[in-house]
Amino acid sequence: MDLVLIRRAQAGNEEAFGLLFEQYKNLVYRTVYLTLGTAADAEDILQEVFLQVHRSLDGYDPARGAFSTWLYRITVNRCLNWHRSRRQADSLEEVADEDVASTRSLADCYEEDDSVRRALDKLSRKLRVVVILRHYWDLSYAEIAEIMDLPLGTVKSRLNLAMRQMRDDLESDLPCTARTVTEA
Amino acid sequence: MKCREVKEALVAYLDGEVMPSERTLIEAHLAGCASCEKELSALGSSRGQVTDSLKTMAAQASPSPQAWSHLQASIAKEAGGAKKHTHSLRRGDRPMKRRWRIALGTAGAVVIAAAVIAAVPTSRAAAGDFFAEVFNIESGPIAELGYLPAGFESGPDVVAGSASIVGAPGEDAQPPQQQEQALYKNGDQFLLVKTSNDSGGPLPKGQVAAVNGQVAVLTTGLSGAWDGLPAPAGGQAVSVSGEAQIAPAGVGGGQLVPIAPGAGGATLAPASGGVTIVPASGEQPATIVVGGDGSVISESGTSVAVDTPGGAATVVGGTPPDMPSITYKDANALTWVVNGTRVEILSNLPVAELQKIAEGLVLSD
Repeated sequence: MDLVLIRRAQAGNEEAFGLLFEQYKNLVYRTVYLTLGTAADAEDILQEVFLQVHRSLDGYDPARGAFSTWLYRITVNRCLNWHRSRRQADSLEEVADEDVASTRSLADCYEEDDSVRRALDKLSRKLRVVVILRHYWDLSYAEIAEIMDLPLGTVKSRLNLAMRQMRDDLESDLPCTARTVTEA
Repeated sequence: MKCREVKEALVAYLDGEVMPSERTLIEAHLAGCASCEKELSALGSSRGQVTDSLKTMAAQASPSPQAWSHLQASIAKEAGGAKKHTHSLRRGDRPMKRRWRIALGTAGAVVIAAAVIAAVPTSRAAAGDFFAEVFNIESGPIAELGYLPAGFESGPDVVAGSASIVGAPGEDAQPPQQQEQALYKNGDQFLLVKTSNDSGGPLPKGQVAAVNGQVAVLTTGLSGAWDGLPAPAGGQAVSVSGEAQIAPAGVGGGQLVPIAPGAGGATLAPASGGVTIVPASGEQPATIVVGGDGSVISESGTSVAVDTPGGAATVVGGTPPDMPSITYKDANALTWVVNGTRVEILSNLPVAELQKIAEGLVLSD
């Protein structure tokens, strides 16, 4: 069914593209929402991702991988680069700092009263993404490796690091700024 | 296994991502180690908590009801720009994209090289697949930029692409060689993104750097000039065995249109600013000229059987015209290979910006 829709959308059928959007909008939106934590970012990136899909659909070849894998890859890359493209004056070091620490304020953390959200936000985005792909979308390590263009061992080490950090944070439920983690 | 090794493997163990032999070793260790068993229990508990919370959080998250209409509006806006652009092509202005599909039917030693101002396909499929899937030069760029410094337009000023196919369909065929060069300009600043599916060859000498965990080489203080892709080698007329089908844009919605081959073969000859198909005899003369300058393209689809003696053949698509040339000094370049694609980013921007651009690059493949 997907293949038929994709072929029709590639041929310029906007209705087929609309059906693809309906079918996959939550994949994109929820990945972004869980990674970045705000509905506004999720809404913006949803638009950007599907615009890119619309532009690049001709180049998608089902023989080279599932459509969802392609979509995850575009979405994850957008998430990882999201603030970079909007903080152009920042130095590379500042971006790196931003990337490994929560962008949320301490007050924001406690207002939500959600220990998992707080623990998630303390991870770097690269760690956060693998946690979401694994534990929300239930993807295998191999699928995550393909999406993120990483060796399997790196996926394994990132998940190990992320889950240990989250375990520690959930046990102590420290404030957001208590600790940051660098990627594997 | 030692405790340290077991603890390192527990997350993967819980995820069911260890080999059976490793699982056996871990379970044997856990049976006699209270410390590791306690660690497993704690990780399992937090794992369940994380999974449950993610599901709860996501259940409340859905796109706004206006998301589709907003997307449609953005698509329509882009399409408006594209139409205007197509119009400028027809007037002979600088082309940006060209739809050009070529399929070669039966086996035979074939070389086709084309240089056009266009985006090139991302496929690294074997040549057989490539032929089967149709050589589509407008299928999308090899890479897109996720980050551009302020002042640059989101799209490149010009994209130069080329693709070459060497060998016949089948097991012995070599993968098509494709490369793309996208130039972005902002006043005196420039950014040139070169991508190629040829990952071979050593990286240049320079400082060791990293791009998203991949080894990269940074070279600084570069000077030189860029004036587009070099023309593909060759230039002589063709020897192609088999059937060639070409459907220019506007024919069947740009799809490949199979048309009965003409008799007597044909010549694909390089022509000024394009490639001309010249049937061997008795057929309607050249029905397509695919432009280096993009200004001339047949409005009618055609298919020509080409039947020439074996051996390699080359078709050259002319020289891309109207390519802005860049002369630079004190430029920096980052070169790396990712997923079989060789990427070089050359720019007179600061190295820190170059790094950000490199890390934001998204391979379309």
